[in-house]
Amino acid sequence: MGAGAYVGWNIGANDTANCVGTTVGCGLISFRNAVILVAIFSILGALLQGQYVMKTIGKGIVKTDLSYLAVIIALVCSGFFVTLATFYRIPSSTSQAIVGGVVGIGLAVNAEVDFAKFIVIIESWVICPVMVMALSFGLMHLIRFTLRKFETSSFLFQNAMGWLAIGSACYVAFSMGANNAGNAVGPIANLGILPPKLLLLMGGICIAVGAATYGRKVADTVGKGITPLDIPGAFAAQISAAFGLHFFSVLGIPVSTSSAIVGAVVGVGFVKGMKAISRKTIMTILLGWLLTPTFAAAASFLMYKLIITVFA
Amino acid sequence: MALFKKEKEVIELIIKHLDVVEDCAKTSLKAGEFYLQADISQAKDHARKSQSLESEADLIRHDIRDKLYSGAYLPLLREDVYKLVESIDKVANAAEACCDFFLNQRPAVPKEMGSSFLAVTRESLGIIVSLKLAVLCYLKGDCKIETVRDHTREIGLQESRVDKLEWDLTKEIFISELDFAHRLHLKLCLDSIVEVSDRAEDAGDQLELATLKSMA
Repeated sequence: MGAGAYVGWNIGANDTANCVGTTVGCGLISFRNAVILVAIFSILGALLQGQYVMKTIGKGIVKTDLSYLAVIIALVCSGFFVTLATFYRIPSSTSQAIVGGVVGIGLAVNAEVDFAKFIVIIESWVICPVMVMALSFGLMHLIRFTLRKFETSSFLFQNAMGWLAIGSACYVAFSMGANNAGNAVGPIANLGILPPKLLLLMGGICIAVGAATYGRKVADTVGKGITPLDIPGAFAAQISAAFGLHFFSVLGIPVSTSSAIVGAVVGVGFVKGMKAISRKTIMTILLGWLLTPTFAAAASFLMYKLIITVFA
Repeated sequence: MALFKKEKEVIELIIKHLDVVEDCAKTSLKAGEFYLQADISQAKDHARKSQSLESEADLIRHDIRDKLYSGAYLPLLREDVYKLVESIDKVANAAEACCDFFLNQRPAVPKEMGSSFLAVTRESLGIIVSLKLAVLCYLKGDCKIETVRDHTREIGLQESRVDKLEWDLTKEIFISELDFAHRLHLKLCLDSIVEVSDRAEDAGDQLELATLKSMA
């Protein structure tokens, strides 16, 4: 339970930025208020639609019931690499880390690993950001076209756009809860300690605590580091990312909130021109995505083997 | 409709503030005209009225500030809204100060310069008409962005005309046979007149900035 809570905390710390980084980055709401929204909507998402991903993480990839030790190692190793990424302000992926950790531990215990499912999940890690990027690119063009066609503007109009952007941030938080709470509590679900709904609630609460205690660092990278966004840009990025996450949540595929929102921000950046996108930041993020699951898998595998060898 | 009720109340207050600022500038213009036509009594009446209108504008501005900080508009926009109101209010301040200059310091405008002073006063204080048009156009949201920008451009053009008149009149003052103190006093009077159009131009810039921010 503690290890699951640790992963949940990591999700909150690293992924809060994904939900509200753009909204906070463009100055629409304070980080404090943003965290409150993330807490409420991620818990709701976890409770209402977290069961699909929880099922995949729990029994979808590794077909055998894992022992307490294996679950703890998978969760702690995954969490550790996300903490490391969070410390260095890299928006890494908890989903990728936990999938890596589960596969690593599955191989270590010689369990049956569903590689077909694993490949589908890996494919979705590429498809999700690309799909979201295309969506945000199209949506941003549509918003631009609409604004330029009607060519109207006033403080009231800007205020309404601002509220839409805040609403879309809530949708991202909901989708994050739906997609990521299962990552934190999925491996524990099979241990039968608590009913699944209660586990998901716990996952949601841990995400909220992570957001409140350590979420600020990555928020700056997402909100300002990749490409500075205006209000329509923040709205387009967030609604696209939330849609992508929600879509994969319902399919039960754990995808990366980070990759979704970064893809969406890049999509908006493309509309503004390539110069608006910080390539250095993008490369750092890509490196984080590649290394986090690889290290999580390797660490889980080696840690389990080491403990078994030492204590056997 | 309850949606954005507070925000709509702020818009109504800004429009009310704008009306009062316009009245203040027009009354100040009349005070200046009466002064330059040597009708001091009428000039005084209008100057007093201008003072009370400026105070009224200040009170409305305070109401707007209170409404904004009681939660109207998102924090990101509050500053833009208040900056615009503040910049419009400065036009009323400048108009009142111009009246005060005439009535308090009583600059002795030579007859041959009377028409030039009258022209620059009309052009500078008359700028409020263009400013009001631009601000209303933006606030009501029923104009195209380009139309708002056309109006703000017009403010800039009018300010340039004032600058030209100021340049010519400054030259006229300093090549005249008047004693140096008199020349300086007239120049100070001219500065206080053109201050109104300068402040209006600032308000126009502020408005244009708000317009640009909303363009995706």
